[in-house]
Amino acid sequence: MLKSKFLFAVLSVLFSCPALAFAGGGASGFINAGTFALIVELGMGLTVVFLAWFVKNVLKIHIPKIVQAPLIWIAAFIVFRVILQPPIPFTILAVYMGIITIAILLYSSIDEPSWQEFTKPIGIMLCEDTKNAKTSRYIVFAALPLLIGYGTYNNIRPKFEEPVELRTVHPAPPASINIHGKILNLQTEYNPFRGKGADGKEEAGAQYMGKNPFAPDAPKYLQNVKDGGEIFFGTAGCMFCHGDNLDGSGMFAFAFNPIPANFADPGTIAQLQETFVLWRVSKGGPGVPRETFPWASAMPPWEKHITQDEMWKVIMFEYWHTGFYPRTWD
Amino acid sequence: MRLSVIFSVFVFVVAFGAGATVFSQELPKPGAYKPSVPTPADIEAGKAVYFRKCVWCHGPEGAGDGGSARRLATKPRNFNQGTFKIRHTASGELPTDEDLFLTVTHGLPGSAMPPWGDILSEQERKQVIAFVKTNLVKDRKFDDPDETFTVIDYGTQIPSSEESIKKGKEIFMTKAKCVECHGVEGRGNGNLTQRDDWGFPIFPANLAKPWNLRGNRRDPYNPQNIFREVSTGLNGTPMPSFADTLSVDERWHVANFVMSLSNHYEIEKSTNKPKIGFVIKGKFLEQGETPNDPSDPRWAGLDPQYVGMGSQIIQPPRHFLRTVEDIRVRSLFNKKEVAFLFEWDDRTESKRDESRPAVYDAKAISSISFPSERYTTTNLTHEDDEAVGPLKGVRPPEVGTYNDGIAIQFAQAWQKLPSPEKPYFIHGDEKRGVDIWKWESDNTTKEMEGNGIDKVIARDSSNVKVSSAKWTNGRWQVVMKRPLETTDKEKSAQLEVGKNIPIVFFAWDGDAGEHDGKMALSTYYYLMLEPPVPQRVYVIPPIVAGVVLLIEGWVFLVARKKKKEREEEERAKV
Repeated sequence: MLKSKFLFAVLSVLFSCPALAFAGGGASGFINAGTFALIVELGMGLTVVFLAWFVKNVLKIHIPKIVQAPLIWIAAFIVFRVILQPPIPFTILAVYMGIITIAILLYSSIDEPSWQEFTKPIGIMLCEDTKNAKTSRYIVFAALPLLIGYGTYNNIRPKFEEPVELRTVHPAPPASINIHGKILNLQTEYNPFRGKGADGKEEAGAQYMGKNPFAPDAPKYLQNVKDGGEIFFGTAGCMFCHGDNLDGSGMFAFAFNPIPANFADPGTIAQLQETFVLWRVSKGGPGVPRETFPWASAMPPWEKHITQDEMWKVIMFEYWHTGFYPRTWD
Repeated sequence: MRLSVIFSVFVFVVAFGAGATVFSQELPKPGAYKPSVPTPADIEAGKAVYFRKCVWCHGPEGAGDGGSARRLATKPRNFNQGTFKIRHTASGELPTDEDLFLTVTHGLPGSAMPPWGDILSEQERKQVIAFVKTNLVKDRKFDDPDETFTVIDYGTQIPSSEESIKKGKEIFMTKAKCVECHGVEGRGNGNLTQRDDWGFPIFPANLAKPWNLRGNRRDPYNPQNIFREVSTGLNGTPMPSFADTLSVDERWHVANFVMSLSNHYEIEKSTNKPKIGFVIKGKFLEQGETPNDPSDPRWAGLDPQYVGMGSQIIQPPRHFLRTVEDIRVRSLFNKKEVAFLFEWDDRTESKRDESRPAVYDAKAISSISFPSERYTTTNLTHEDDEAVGPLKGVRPPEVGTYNDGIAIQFAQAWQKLPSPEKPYFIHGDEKRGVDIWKWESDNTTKEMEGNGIDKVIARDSSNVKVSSAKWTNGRWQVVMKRPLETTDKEKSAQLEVGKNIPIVFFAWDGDAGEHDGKMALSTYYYLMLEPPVPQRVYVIPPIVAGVVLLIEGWVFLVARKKKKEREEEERAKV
């Protein structure tokens, strides 16, 4: 007895760790969101298993099968609907819950005694005439039609939600573009401000990452980065939408739909060639093809406001600031 | 056995409690405070962070003159004087380490300062603060023995109640005279001629939008923030400390009153602004005419729908300092016409007047202390300069005050556009025209046709009507109406019930030099005129419930019959 208490104490502390990680991770930001969510989910799963074991073996409480089944079902629903973030679409939720339902039925009918145990209360509820059986019968007979009636109402009641419109975020670029009367071939063009490294190839800029572009002895590369930053923040004012950390959360971001691109996310400029970025910068929202909704984007066509050199410098700055490298053709 | 149950509950409560307290704001210990002394290693590491993340706004010397300074209306902080707004220390004192840490972590909502807690680690934030404290605060020293740090005492918080709010209002209006700057309903429409310590124009905070208060720590409905700011004042601004004039209890009453000034919209965590739904819903009026007046009780039954507005910085003429940050929209319609109630905050009622200087002089705000030589611009970037920029010869420069205004825009013949195609959101494009309904504060209402930002022409039409337009205490309320259908089916949008109708919102503040393309704007929303709920929605569910009841009865009878059979069998066996 003492041993089981001790074991329980140890396990309780162990399984409270996810909660502590939740508190600590949320407060300090040491653990990134993905890892943190994984720990929480894993912890939750283990906690449920542990609780089941605890109730059965330590508290010695036997929960009847007919109660177990809805308990498991509800727990699963809560996990999928509330705890799992970001929220999953309804269709996937329906599939998951379908699988859970089948699994519960399988588990309940795994052998004859189990199935008997599962169905016996239903039989009692339907056929016996004791006071308890009668009460439960009235409750079930009244609740079922009400629940199903409400479900039907909820289903056919008109709802007005934002229509789903699938927008391509990275459309295919054209072969060439015309900026200020000059035609640029996007496959052969390169950023003239990067300079060439010792191998004769374009400078990726690894040695300049995190270095001070305002240092008096900053090399040419970093001076260009500094110019780009001044344009991003001052001349052009990109930061009003793309944010002071280039993460798409600038002062106007809340007002615009689609939201401004998050360059700090590995899924945007890190996946693109520099010339692609130049195309998107110079032609802005109105310059993208139909599948990217040119009518909806608040991205300015920058060729109306800044020079091509300034665009190249801004792009260089964006890679330097986020620590990403542009994709290359080889 | 019972013991272990209690123990398990205890462990879980402690674990989750620990989580909860970390998220709520911790109150600092009142009284004397001694700041920490940073190590040289921390300062060096902080410098690296500063020159990657902060320098672009705060400048290489921390003088608040980075690249963005010229563009912003709340200027980046100039660290040199050691003047910090959001603190727990007495008026005029330097802030505590925790104050600076919270400012960096949560940013300064309503300004360009983002919440760096989502970006920099705790260590990086502490390091960069070490660098700012030692190297960029130049006129004062945190370790100067003459510097005092006196943390305010929150006393015992008075929970909000009708009585407390009433007392707070009384103090706000009379004893503390908050009303002189913040206005009768707190929308910041009082004294608009003030300047901060650096000579920049500064406007009283709009207390009806607590999510924009700089010191809200991303916890906008918490009265603690207001209590703190009333107690400490905001160094460098005209906001004084009331620690000596108001008792602790009085300050809590004021905080409770200030919190009562705003609509408690649900806040979107990622933007720290009210949540936006991109479908604006219009409700059907079965009987009667649509309301003419904003005070009509039928409006009160509808939730205001929040529409976020950005500046038109996309096409020339670019405009960075829009003052209309959002519009609250309500809509009602009957069989004939649709009515909208638009509400938006504007500190001034403006009318076109060439001889009256604008309250917000955008040029003065943006460039007085930031001469343009500091910036490497080309001819193309002089978007405000009619002499050399793209506006050359296009438009005369702004003179005086312009009209306030509001407009909504629909696509012409939107039913015929292949979904999801729409006209360009800023007044349409050459191929796809738009139908703009615009009201201006000289009480003109126009229906206009747009094929681009510089191709907007008024149409000869009197279908759009404004039945009421009122400016009171820093807020406009405009009721705009139009018949659902009109005769000109090509140029004028025909509104259909039950369809997602693309709609865009525009607003102008004449005292910020806004007119024509200089404006605040949204991107696309949908307008849904909700059809009356069909009868079958109320008929089918009871039928379904009835059928279920019948099935239940049948199952019950079958089960009984089987049971009887079984019993008889058993009896027969015996």
